[in-house]
Amino acid sequence: MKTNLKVTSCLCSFIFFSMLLFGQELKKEFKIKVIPVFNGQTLQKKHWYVSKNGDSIQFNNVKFYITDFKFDLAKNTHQEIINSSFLVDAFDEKTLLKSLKIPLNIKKTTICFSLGVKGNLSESGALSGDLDLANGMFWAWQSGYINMKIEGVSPSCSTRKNKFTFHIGGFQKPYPTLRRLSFPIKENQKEITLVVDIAIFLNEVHLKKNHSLMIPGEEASKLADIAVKMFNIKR
Amino acid sequence: MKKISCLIGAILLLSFIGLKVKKNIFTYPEYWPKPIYDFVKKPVTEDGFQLGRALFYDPKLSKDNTISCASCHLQASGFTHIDHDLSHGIDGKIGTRNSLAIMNSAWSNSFMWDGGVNHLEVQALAPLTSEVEMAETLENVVRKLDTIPFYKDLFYKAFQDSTITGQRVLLGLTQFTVMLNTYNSKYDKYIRKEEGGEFTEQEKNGLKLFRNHCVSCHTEPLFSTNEFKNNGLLVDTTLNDYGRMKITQNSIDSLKFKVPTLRNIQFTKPYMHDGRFETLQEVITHYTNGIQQSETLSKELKNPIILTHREKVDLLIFLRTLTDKEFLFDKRFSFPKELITQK
Repeated sequence: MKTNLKVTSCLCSFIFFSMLLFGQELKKEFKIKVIPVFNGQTLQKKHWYVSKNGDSIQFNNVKFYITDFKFDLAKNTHQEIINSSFLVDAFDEKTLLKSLKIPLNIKKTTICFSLGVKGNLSESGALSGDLDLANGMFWAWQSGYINMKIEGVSPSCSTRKNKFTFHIGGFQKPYPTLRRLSFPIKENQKEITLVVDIAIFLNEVHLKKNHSLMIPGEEASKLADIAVKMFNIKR
Repeated sequence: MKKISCLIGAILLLSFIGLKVKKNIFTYPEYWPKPIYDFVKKPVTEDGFQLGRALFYDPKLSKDNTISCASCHLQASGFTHIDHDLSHGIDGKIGTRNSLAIMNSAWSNSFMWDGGVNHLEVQALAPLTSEVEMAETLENVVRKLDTIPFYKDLFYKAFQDSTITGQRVLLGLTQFTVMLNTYNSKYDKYIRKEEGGEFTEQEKNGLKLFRNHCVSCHTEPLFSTNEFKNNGLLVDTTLNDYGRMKITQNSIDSLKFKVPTLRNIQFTKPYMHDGRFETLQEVITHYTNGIQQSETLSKELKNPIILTHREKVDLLIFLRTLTDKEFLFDKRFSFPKELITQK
């Protein structure tokens, strides 16, 4: 009786693995290379930069989420990439190269993704991987992911130790901060280089007047509108 | 079709390799409402509970290894900080609010006095990272625990993997705190018509008065509605705490705070968000004589509550029937000496 049971179990497992193997679509890699810059110069920690407003700036923390990748395809169809939530740390080399698994032979026209984490994940409890709360990108009070952090020092800031701190987040209406981006790509393209120019943000934010934000709200929503302009694809 | 095939395959595979699906050990009275916490996705296991228990009582979760969750949430006082109007954290720093009692959390959809935390699993992050409480980072807690073989074993048992992550620390704590359930008070036994639940005439009258004047906010069986209400307290000008408004940025929420449960209220003193009342007599007197009218005052308190001295006593006697000594002295929830000494 026991032997029969084992044979049946082995057979079932073989069938299961076969289903997995043949039922799964073949996939290939699509790479996303992120290059953080300041006005075209490579972004470095503790390096002095000057914004168009004349603010001297040093950065010590630049982090953001890029999530929910999707490819628009020919004939008005699209391919969503599930569980594509990535945390990018501008000063951590290993976070600057991301990889998506996409089906073979799809004819891509556009790549789309979000800057930030969508609202329902901010209400989903303790998540793992790049969304692990140990990454320090989650507000303990007024729960929710921080979509982007830009921190540094500037003599223009009349704060303690001349620090500026921008934590942009919030998912509740009327001030959600998630922003969607899309860029046209070639149908057989295998990677993109995403250039993130922090100067664009600091050129619009006057550090003399505006140097700290760590709560959701109208101001965060305005800063999210500025932040999204930093992203572009290198042609 | 493909999904069904995969499901059948997965079940067969599990049975083949002999993995045991762990049993959810969370239970509650059948006549209670369904919990809000999703036990289908996250069942509580004995190993998860024991991991959470060790974490809850471990001061290593604080920056200087001096303050544990239990420092402000003591079992004998219903998992709150008895005798402290405002809780204190590392270096003797004082917070701005009275610690809430941890009980029946599976039925809460928001946490903290102002509802600033939206999920039980992320609740612990607030005290853990608060500068006036534990002043630590979750990242550093992971780093510290990762060096302790005792914890590697506990995480392995709970998650079948000894890797410690922020998610697993929070899930472990949740497995413990979600089990802190109280439903065996004299009141509960009275409702279930069990032995030990025989109410005196005074207790019966107290329950009647409670149902006439209090139950719309402190609704049975949980004795809270999870709502935020302005209960007519004057602002303490040393704190200027306007409660829920800070979260919603909406003036209609000015002075609103979460309605706390009244279970084990006899032992959870002091009372209110700023711990201003030392005794239940003071609380009852506030509701009968101390309500401050304001635009956001709870509609249930617009009209005065009038009670005779005797009625106040009966109400108080009833509130004491909400004490659940089985919960307050349940050894399963106490400091895990046998675990901690193994370090």
